[in-house]
Amino acid sequence: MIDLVIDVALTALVLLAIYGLGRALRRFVPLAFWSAAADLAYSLAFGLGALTTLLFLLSLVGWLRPAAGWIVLAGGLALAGWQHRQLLDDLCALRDAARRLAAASWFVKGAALLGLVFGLINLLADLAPPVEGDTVHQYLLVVRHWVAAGRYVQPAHIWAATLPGNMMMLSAWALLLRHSYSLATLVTGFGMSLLLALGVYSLARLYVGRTPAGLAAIAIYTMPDAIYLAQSAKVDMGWAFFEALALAAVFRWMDLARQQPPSPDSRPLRWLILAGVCLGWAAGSKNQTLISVALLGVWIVAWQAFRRDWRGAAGAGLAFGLATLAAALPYYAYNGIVHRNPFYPVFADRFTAWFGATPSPRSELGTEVFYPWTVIGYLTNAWNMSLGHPPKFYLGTLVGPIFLLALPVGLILGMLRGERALWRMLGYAFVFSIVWFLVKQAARHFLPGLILLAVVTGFILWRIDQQGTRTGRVVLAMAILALCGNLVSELGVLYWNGAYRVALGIESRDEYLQRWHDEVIIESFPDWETITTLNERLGPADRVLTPHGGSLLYIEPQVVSDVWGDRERYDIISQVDVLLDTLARNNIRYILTYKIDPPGEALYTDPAFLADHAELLYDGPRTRLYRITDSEGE
Amino acid sequence: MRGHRIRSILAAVWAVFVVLMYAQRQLALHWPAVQEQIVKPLLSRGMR
Repeated sequence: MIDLVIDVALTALVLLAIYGLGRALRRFVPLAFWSAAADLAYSLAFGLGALTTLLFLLSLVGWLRPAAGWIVLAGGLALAGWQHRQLLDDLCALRDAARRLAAASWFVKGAALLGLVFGLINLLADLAPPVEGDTVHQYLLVVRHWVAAGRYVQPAHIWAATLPGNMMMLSAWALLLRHSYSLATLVTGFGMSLLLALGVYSLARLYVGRTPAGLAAIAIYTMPDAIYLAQSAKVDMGWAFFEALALAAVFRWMDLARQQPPSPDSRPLRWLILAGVCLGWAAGSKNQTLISVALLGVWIVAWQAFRRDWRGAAGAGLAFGLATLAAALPYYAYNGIVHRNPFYPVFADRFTAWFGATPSPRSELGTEVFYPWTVIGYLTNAWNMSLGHPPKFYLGTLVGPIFLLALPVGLILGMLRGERALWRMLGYAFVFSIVWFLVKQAARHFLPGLILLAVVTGFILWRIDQQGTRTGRVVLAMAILALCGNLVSELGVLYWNGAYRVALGIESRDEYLQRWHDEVIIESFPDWETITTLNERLGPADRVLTPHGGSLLYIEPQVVSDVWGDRERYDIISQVDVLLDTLARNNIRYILTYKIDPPGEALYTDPAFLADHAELLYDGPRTRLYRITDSEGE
Repeated sequence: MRGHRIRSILAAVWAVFVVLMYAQRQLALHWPAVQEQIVKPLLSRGMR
């Protein structure tokens, strides 16, 4: 139990250190924000962006060491202590918000209570070791290699190793402080989910009051997809936080640039620089930000050009573009130098053909497209993303029904009449949704649009609450029921995996992992005996080829997936000599096969091949481990 | 006034419809797992 307490305490300290540095940097930013919440949100963004960039620089020179992690933490905490008055003010603002809530309507109280319950569940679930797919075979696995090496490395067998790493660097910081994957998940999943809620609240406060802004934050936080992400160490929560603040800064710029006569103190271009910096940090967290960079860039320039202000268009484009470039630079510059493709593995084929860049068996584009590129496909995705995808949909979870419920209701009741800023948000979200639908269809990739839909949803629900009509109460009751539905599905997941058992002290983290692998998860994942066997019989330098790359975080040897390999696929090699050569070249001496697979799906799992070229080391309930013998027939 | 009333009713009907569809879709998707992992263990515990 002490482990859990330490992890929670360290999570709070990490967030406080981010706050400390962010508040210090805020002093150098000559902008007046529109609300105290926005001031706090941007300060946290400055701290987060600066710290993750600093950690990357430290990792480049081989200082990704525990001492460095503690020094960075101590520095951030010292800055927080130095600004304790500001910290107290921010805490008082939180207390005041709680007081105001006491006087709110039953609907607002109910929604706030549900938001709180979701937060608590995320916290409890993150105390158990992470088991989310991408977290344990990509995002934390890369981080484990960074921390073990003490520097930034890109292991070829891990697909995520070349992706923009701001959020992974945050996880690395957590691991430097304590070798606890739960701590990394608490910071990067739970911590960043709180920041996202604050970011959405701040964005909403540009145009609406505290209550609708609070409802917007609740709408985003209670999405099943947000819960899924808050309970993982995936990069999306932190990425979406930066995206929300970039959007808010662009909107602020538009509002100020439109003022006639212009206010002498407004200096709208500074807001575009701020937007660019936030978007650059978002791009340094997830390369899908390129969509936002393109859409916002075109919007900004076109908006000025439409007013025939060509000089203004050039200036705005330059300010926004250069700021984005500067903040996004680290990981893209690294990939540009090492792989001759700043976006690697995106656009890999093109860059390989044009510049001799590192080839990739998988480009990010089009890898998550499930519905056909038609109007019906688009609408079906929107409907199913809200209510439930068919079982074959494998791209993550839902956004829940709150947007599908509230937005049409607002339109039917004419609540958006004259709300120009909210229509602007809906318009941008719609354009974004089309690009997203063509490139990636999983809900989490639509977070920049969902952020805006949440703001409009918060406003509509608040207006209905204000009207106090009987039919309005029916709508609000349904909205609460929709959030309760999200809660039930979340509780179902918690019951299924039993993560609460760790928080309640019923089982230890190791016991949880063992039970999860042996009793909960399907047989295409290794059971605990397989994991133990691999860890006991093989060392960290040993390399194992397998068709199922699940739970690799908990396996010490390097397990290589057959569809990614070391950036070349093994599952399509059909000639024995080519296969043996490729295995030898990449120093792969072991093969792990799964009994659920039909034998011989790939050559390397074919019983005849294994009989001729490998010896059986382990025959377990789910898997078989082979050692490759050196030559044919040996 | 009458138009507003009709729109209000339409809005309430839409909200109810969406929530019912959500419940129906989620139950259809997860009912086998609920039966297997919750109902059956509870029933078998009760039989002992």
